Amino acid sequence: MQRSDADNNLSDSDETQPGQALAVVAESCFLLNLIFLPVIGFIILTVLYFRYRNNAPSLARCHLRQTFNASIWAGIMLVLVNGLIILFGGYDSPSVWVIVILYLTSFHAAFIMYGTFGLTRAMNGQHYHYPLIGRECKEQ
Amino acid sequence: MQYKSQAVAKPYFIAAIALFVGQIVFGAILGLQYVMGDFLFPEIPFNVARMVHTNLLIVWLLFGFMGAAYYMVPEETETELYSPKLALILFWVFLAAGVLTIVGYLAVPYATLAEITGNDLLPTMGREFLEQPTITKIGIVIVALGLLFNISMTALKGRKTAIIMVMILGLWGLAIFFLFSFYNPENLVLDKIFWWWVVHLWVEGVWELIMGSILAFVLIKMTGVDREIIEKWLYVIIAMALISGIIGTGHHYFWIGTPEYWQWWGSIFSAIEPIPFFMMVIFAFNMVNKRKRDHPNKAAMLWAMGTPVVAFLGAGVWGFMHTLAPVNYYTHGTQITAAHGHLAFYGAYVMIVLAIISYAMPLLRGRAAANSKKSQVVEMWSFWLMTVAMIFITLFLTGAGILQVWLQRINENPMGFMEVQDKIAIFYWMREVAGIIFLIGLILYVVSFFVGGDEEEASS
Repeated sequence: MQRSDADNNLSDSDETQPGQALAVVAESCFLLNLIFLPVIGFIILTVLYFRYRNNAPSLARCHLRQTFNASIWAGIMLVLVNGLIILFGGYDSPSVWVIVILYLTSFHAAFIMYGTFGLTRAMNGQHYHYPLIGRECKEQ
Repeated sequence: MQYKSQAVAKPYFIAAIALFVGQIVFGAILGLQYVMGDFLFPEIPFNVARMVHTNLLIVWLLFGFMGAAYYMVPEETETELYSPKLALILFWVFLAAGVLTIVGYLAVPYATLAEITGNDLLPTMGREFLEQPTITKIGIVIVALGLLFNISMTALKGRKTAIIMVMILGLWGLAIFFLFSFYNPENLVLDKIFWWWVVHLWVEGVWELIMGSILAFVLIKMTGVDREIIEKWLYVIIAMALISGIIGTGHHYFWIGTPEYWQWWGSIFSAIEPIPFFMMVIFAFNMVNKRKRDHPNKAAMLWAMGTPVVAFLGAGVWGFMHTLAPVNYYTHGTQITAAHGHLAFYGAYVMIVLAIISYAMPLLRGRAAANSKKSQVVEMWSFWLMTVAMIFITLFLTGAGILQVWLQRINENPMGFMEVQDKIAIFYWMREVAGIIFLIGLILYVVSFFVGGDEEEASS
């Protein structure tokens, strides 16, 4: 028998949670920084983080903390990549392309995926803990 | 299965999987020929193996799309298929045409095949991916027209949903753009321009509509999320796919003799081509987070979730990597293109076809919703083996491509093509190992249909 849409109902997550809009903005700024507006996205996220990190609803605090933290990690990775390039012969060496492309396709793409998953969770009013690099949300 | 006529999808899916196995076997042969040039020569020369590998991919994906259409259309339109008999006749016509073409490639030299199939009367052969004899191309058109007639007539008499309209639009586009394969101008620039109207406007245009509609269908069925929400997402995604993809064709016009402005148009519009894939990831995960039920078919859910992620990486990230004209000036036609092609095709089209097969097959085989737990475990192993292997194939080809670009095109003393091929052989060996693991994953996928058949089906 074909199952009907009503079978196995889970909780309905259509209701807006407190802090949901800020959580979505935080994740969007994280993605903007990675994809379309580098630096500008991060500046907006930083302002939001320091403005709301202690007084926003728990959902927003969680997403702000994850995205700010992940942005710092992304920055550290960029410094490391540049360090590796210099270590392996400078910006004129063939290895520069190996490092840059592997960084873009592996690490940068992974950050984008984290941001994407985080954004979908924020859009549904759910907490999200970035794997490996995110700090646990205590309120989760 | 809600409608009896949905059963016609089953042979299409079985043929798709069988041809998929053939494609990967030839892929493994090809991979070995990259490092052992005379492997299976002269029985299966490199050019023939490559042609079989790529043509089988196209044919089995078409079988998958057709199977998906025949499965989805009755359920979406809430009426039986206009003519199940026509669908079955077309299946055998397409299978016979496909198999005879592959046998032709393998049995006789390509020039002889062209001669005996009457290519002189209407020359269409000899172009990459469109190597099929003219008579086969005519067969494809007949099959496509029959399919379009059948599903359009069904849609006309039944409920018209956004999902089915998008799918029909995609299939009409597929058929219409294939007609450019019959146009074979003597001017090489024109030839290439219109050749891309088939190749590019299929995979970065109308096929994305088919992919989006299948994904939307599977998500509605598996998550129970309201149709209105899913359809809104689908509209925006396909709009972005067409806005970026149509003029994005320009990224193929950079170096073929077209005016220079194509370097701007191609770069700008193809730079936004990752957006629909990015939206698909958000769409799919958003729907899963909103889900109103826990579907017992975990394997199908895995394929459905994997599709946008790998498509975004393969088509979006790897595509963007070499799509801007100044970058493409160096990377054009290197192993970087091959890396992108492999991951994009796997993520966008292989995985979506496997997702709909995974969702529909248990129902077509008489199950209520899903296969047994044992069968699903084997299938999920196959998912991870194939997906991880494909990511490694892509990474190894990317490494090979970077080195190739450097040695062949950037170096102060550029090396010749074959000399460079020797230098990057280590990457080809590693790619071959990953390819064998992919084949093992595919064998497991086939095995999953034969295990746990007598066991109870998995519950949610």
